[in-house]
Amino acid sequence: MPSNFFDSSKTDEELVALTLKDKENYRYLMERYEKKLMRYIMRISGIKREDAEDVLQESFIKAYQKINDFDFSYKFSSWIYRIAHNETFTHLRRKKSRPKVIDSEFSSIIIDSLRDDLNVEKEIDKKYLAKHLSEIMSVISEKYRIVLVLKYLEDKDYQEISDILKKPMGTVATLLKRAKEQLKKEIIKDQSVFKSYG
Amino acid sequence: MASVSEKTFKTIQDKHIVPQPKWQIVLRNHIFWLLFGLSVIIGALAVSIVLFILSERDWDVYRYLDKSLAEYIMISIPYLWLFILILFALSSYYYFKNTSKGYRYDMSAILMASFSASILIGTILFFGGIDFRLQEILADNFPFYNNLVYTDEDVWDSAERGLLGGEVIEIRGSDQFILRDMEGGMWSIGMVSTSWPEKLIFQRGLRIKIIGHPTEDHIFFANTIRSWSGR
Repeated sequence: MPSNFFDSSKTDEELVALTLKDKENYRYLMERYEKKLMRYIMRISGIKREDAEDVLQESFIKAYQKINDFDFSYKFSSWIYRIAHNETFTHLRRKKSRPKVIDSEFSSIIIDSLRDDLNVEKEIDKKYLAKHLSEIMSVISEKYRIVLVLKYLEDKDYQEISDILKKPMGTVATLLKRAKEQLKKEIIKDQSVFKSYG
Repeated sequence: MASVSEKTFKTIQDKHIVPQPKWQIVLRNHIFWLLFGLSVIIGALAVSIVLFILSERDWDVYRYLDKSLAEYIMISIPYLWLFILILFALSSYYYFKNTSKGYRYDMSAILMASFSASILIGTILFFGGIDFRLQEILADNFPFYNNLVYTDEDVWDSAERGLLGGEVIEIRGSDQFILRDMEGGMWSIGMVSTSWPEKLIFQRGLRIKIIGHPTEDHIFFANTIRSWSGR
């Protein structure tokens, strides 16, 4: 066990500082992020659980090796998400595969937030969106899908998305705007096809 | 079943995985900053050479070269050095992007900052009187440089058009001297009502530009004499 008693109220950054003194503390950081990162890896890649576990393990090892590179002026979560993000795409490149359909559960809050942001409250039925959003997301281009996942499923703000994707905030804002436009277009298209087959 | 965290921690212990030393990370970051700085400085040198070439150009002699002023300006622009400036601005962008927080800035902002820094430093170097022998060394020793940059050597190697440049070899009285042109040819220069700047001290080894006209083979009458470098 770590030399200091683990206090769950410790911030990520405090745990990083403790990890630099005693690697046992790294366990707590990994435990804190295991579920979140697992979900993120699967959401952006659609790979099988076993493969996602390998990617996550690689990500944790890489993060530990680079722990001295962590800049305390950043959020640790953005830093570790970035590593997991890069490892996921390294894995996909190695396997020469492309990200597949994301099979995600979309909570009512996410659906509401999306409908608000897309300005489609009147046109699109909430139940319809909850049922078909996964399929619709799968036809959206990869760069747009990733920002949508980070914004709506991972609930990251612009600065965090910028740090995870290593892109300027302005670029993130543009990507998100275009992603929403494409998503809206696909939702309307999909719904009209759905209605015509009724 | 063991969690991923537990399995990873066991792997870290079993394989004796350790964090990369801090100094290596700091060094890597410093190297990118250093390369960024070097790129800006090389860009600044290019700016100062551009300013030097343009300031040294005799803008009134285009008539002797059968060119319009616009044509003369177009061929006088030192495209090679402008290309070098752009190339190193792009490389500075690449190095800046690779610093720890470089990605937070837009490409246009980084390029603008890099260009501005190169122009500012280049202008300071130019007015600070940096030694521009590099430009002369390149022009004198590398024929391909003269193909890429329209130099003073190109302008003042046109005796048949009335423009002759070179080095004073021998002074023969108050109205005649011997000049070696840039190709190594010897000229006898005659001076009748010739004008030259007051501060010009006529002596052996002086590099000058002459506007005049050739009379016979390797005999040239000077109307105006200018210092090779106005600096």
